[in-house]
Order: sequence, then structure tokens, then C-alpha cells
Amino acid sequence: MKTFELVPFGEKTLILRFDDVQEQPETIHWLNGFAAFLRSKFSKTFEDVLLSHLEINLVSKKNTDFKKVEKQVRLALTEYNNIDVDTACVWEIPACFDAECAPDLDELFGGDQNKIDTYIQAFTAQELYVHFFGFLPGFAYLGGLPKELQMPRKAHPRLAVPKGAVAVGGSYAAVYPQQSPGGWQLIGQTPFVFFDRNRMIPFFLKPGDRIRFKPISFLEYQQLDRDYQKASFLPQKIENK
Amino acid sequence: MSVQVIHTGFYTTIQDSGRTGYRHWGVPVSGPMDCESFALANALLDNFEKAAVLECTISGPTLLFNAPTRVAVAGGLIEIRLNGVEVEMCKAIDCDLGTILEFGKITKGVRSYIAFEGGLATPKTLGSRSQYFPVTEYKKLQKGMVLPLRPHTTALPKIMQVPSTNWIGTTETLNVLKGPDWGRISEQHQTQLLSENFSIGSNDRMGYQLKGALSKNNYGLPSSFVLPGTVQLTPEGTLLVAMADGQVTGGYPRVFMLSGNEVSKLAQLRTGKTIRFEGCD
Repeated sequence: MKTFELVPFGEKTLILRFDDVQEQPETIHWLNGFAAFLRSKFSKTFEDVLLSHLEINLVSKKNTDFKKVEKQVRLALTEYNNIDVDTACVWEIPACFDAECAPDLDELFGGDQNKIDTYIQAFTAQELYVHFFGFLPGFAYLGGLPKELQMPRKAHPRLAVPKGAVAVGGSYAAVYPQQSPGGWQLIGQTPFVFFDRNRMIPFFLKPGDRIRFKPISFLEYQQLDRDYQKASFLPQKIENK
Repeated sequence: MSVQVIHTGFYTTIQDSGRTGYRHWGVPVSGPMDCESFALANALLDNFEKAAVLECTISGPTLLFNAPTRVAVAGGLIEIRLNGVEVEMCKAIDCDLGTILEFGKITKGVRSYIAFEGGLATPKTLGSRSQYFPVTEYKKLQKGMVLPLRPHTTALPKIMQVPSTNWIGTTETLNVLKGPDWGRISEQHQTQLLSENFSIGSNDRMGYQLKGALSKNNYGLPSSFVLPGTVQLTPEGTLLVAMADGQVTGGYPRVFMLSGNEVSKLAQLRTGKTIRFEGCD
């Protein structure tokens, strides 16, 4: 994955695209690791380095010096390939997928409880990964959904999706970090808040991290929600990769 | 050392140069809508170029000073009264303890910037003082808020030549660079974008909607990076210009990027005003 192109975007930004990238976990982890590497190595040049769908965006502090950035990317590529900077974590996120927390499941499966159960079982068995963040602070686009778990977005977006809603929109899953308008299908809810400015660690997920949803009952959800209100604790980290 | 908010004005926010370094967590950069006037207000007081100011929209606040300081106002034309007596924009204004500084409506342009000697000393969240909910507790100034100030020095700021502000509210063309998705849209759309007029629809700190005669479309793109000044073509055929509080990703073709300080010019235009795009490669 060494051949790349840099596409100018306005006066301050370059889009870094690699040839032949596919949307698969290894590639996304590599891209996120490389973005983090560029971010820390060239913090004087770039004010932000971030992924969007299969691309790395390099935002310069001043107007972009195309030649300089190209050189920096080449240098970083040789160095990055030689060291392991993949510090991605795997998180277990308890979430309730019962009807009380999943207003769209009924309609999606025509009220067929067996189909709903099968879907949730497959959804919670799948390890997802943070492809990139966007839309709202802490809104992670979670990749890794197989075709059969993907869902079209709603034709008419909701005006208020609740905080913590677990949602599927196209090929991505996400957790709404705050109440907001939204057009994704709501299939569950977690008491864990993905962005909380009052918490010691406002964001616990980072780009490249992995997630597994753990199904809990509505009673457990309510209990956890009450506990969380008291102490804003973090979900469990299963492992450091 | 502080200043108290007696009235907030229509929509007033605290803004420094913005919250960079957190976009990879989905946090918009925020900062001033009109960077030119923000820089001028700070320069008039010899402030650090990134110092926090108040950004007023449509109308300004009423402030009570609990300590002596100096302020300067730049941007959209706004009436200022110091203890009832009219004072000028683009000049250092000395405020004593107990001074009431009252701002009226903005009569030319949309946004005015009130800089304070040394910059407002409100707390930072994620490295910036810029208000953006839910990164900060409030999205805008609240009545009764007390904003900490820096110590007052007696040294007068050096007198600077004030650049012309005739451009404020009068812009008719915006200079643009082609966006990264320019090649994905039809030739007809390309031609229309560079020849037709667009009128300013709903707008706020997140974005400006521009309406023209572009047809509906179905270009459908994956989520891509968007920054202040990016112009996207929506499926309904309207244009969406991302501004200071705009989302970091968008799903529509990025047809233009406003160049240089064109974002500042747009930020001073009102709903209903007509603009055209002028392209360069």
C-alpha cells in the first residue's frame, strides 16, 4: 500500500488517497494508525489529520506546501511500516435491543420476533471498528457490518434521536453521542455516552478502535443508566491490541 | 476583573481562533465566522492574534464592566454607546469600572466583533474558548454571565492604519477553487454553478444555504471531509456552504472551496442577498 496520490482541496488541505484500498478492517486499522502517526509526527505542519471514508485528510496550519507535504508523507510511510503503532482497543458496550429501546426493529422486520432476534444475535456477535468520526462530536462511523446486517436510512429523518441510540445507516452502525436529528434506523440503546465534556476522558473511543455490543435486558439498561448518571464510568476495555 | 452580561443581543458567542486538533473526533473547528474582522478587532488592541472576543450577530449585547479595561469593535456596522454616549468602531475604547457599554442593531453586514484588552479569559474546553454545544456548556452568551478579563495596562496600543471595511455586506461575487468532487457532477451543473445567481437562504454558524436553479440530482457520495468554505451540492439542487461550526464530514459532492477570506465576506451577507461564483483553477 505504498502508492498514493495527494489531491488539493482548497488552499490548506490535501486529501491523501492510496491506490487499491478496500473497505476491510486491516486496511482501516492501517489507515487510522498512519493518520495518528502523521498527526503526532508533523504536529507543527498540520492542525488536523483525520480519516473520512478510505481517505486521510491533511489540514495545514498555513497554506499547503504541496512538495513539502508529499515529502513528509513519503518519509512517514517508510518509518511507519517499520514500527508498530497500532494501539487500538477493543471495547464491550452493553446495549439494550428490546422493543423499548429499539423503535425501528418492529417495522424493519414486519413485527417478526424471530427475525428480530436473529438480526440482533448476528449484530452483537460482530466485531465492529471505528472507521472515522463525523456528524457530531463523538459520532463514530462503525464499519464491519456484513451486507445482511446493513439497513437503508429512513426516508424521513427523526427530529430527535435520543442520546445513546444504537443505529444502522447504510453500511455503517453508530451510537448517537447526544440527542439530535437523525435518519438512521434505531435498533438499540446504550447508557454509555460517547462524548461527555465533564468526564476525565471526554472521548473514550478513538479512530481504529473496535467495538462489540453486549445485549442487556431493559431492566439492566435502566440500572446501568442510573449508575452512569451518578459516576460517568467507562465501558469495559476487553483488550489492548 | 470581569465584565457582566446585562443583555445578550440576538445571538452572541465567545470565539477565539477555533478548536483545532479534535476534528478526528468529529469536533467542528468553530472560531469566528468573519476572520478578517476578528483579526482587526484584536489588532486594534495589540492583542494576541488568537485572543477570545465576542461575536455578535444581528445585534449586540449590553455589558457592565467590573474593572477598567479597553475594548475595540470591528466588523458589521453597529451603534455603540458608552454610558449613553455614542463612540466609534475600529478604535480603542477605554472603559472604567462601572462603565455600561451598550450595543444596538447591526445596520450593515451581519456580525460584529468586540475585542477586550488581552482577550477574554473564560475557561478553555478541548483547547479553545469558542462556544459550541455540547463541547461547551452553552452554545451562546447567557444573560448574567460574568466573563473574566485580563489585567488592564495603561500603555496605549500603537495606532494602526485601519483597513477599509467597505466590503462588509456588499459582496456580489465569491472567488472559489474547484472542489475535489467537481469532476463528478454533470457539465450542465458545472456551467450553471459558474454562471448563475444564487440567493442566500437559511443560514447560521453551521452553514449557509444558497438557492439557485440547479436541478435535483442523485450523485450520492461516501462521507467525505468538509471544512469551513466547502460548498456542497445537495440532492435537492441547493448549495450548502459549510461555515465555522460546520460538521467535519458531509455526504454530497464538494463542488467548490471558497478561497482565501471569502468565508468572511459570505458571513457578512444577509438572507435574500444574491451572489455569483467566480472560478479559478
